Amino acid sequence: MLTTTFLPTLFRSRPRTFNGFANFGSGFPGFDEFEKVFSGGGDYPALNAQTNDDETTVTAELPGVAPGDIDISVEGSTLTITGSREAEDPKEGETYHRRERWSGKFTRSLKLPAGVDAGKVEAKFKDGVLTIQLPKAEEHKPKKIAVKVS
Amino acid sequence: MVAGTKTLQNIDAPSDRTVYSPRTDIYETDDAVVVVADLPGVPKDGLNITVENNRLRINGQVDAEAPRSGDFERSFTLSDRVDGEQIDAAFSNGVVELTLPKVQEAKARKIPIKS
Repeated sequence: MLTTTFLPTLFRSRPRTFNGFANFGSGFPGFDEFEKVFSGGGDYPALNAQTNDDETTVTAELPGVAPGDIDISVEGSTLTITGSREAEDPKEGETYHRRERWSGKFTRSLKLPAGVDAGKVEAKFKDGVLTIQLPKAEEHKPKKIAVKVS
Repeated sequence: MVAGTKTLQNIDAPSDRTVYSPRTDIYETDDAVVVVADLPGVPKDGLNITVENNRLRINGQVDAEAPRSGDFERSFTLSDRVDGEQIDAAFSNGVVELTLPKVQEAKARKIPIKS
C-alpha cells in the first residue's frame, strides 16, 4: 500500500546502511547519505530532498519533537540534523499492544550539491515537519549563455 | 468525534495523493486504551477521527502545497471493552493521541421475585 514517489528517503522504502556512503543512483545524483544514529531501528526520521536551479529544500518528518530539541548545522556541503524525541516507556500497570513509532536521539546527515550559501539557510517547523531551504551561492547557479546569431 | 473542516464525504473521495499508513503505538492503562499516531505535516484542520460500527478510523490530510506528498489513513477495530463514544483526542506537532476509556463492568442486577 505504500508507494514511494520520491527516492530514496521516504520511510520504509530504503535499505539501511550503517557505515560508509550509500549511493542512491538515479533520482538524486550527488546526494550521499551517511552517519545515521538512532534507536528503534528503521530509517528515522524520514528525510526528503529536492533541488532546483536556485536552492535545495530538505524536509524532515519530526512529529512530536520540540523545535528547541532540533539542531541543524551546515559544514561545507554537509547538512546535519540532530535531535531527540522522548520514548514513552510503559509505566506501572501499562502494557504495549503495538509499538511502531521511533524514539530517542537521532542524527542524519546529507551531502548537498556544491555551493550552498550558508548565510542564507532558512529553517521552518510546522505540524511536525522541518523544512530547510538552502540557497545556492550565485556562482553555482547555472548560467544562461546567449547565442549570437550572425 | 474530532472532525476537521473537510467533511466526512470528502475523506472517502478518491484522491490522486499517495496515502500512507501512519506509525502508531497502542498501549493500555488501567482505565483506557491509548492510540498514538505520527501524522507529520497534517494541520489541525486536516485531522479526521471517526468511529463507525466499532471501527476507529484515523485520517489526516496534508495541505495541497505541503512538501510531503501524501495523506494518512489507518483503521482499527475496537473491542467492546472500550467506549467508542467517549474518545478524547489531543493533537499537536503532527502527533495525535486518542484515549479510549474502558467500559464499566456491567453491574450485577438483583432480580425481584414476585410473590
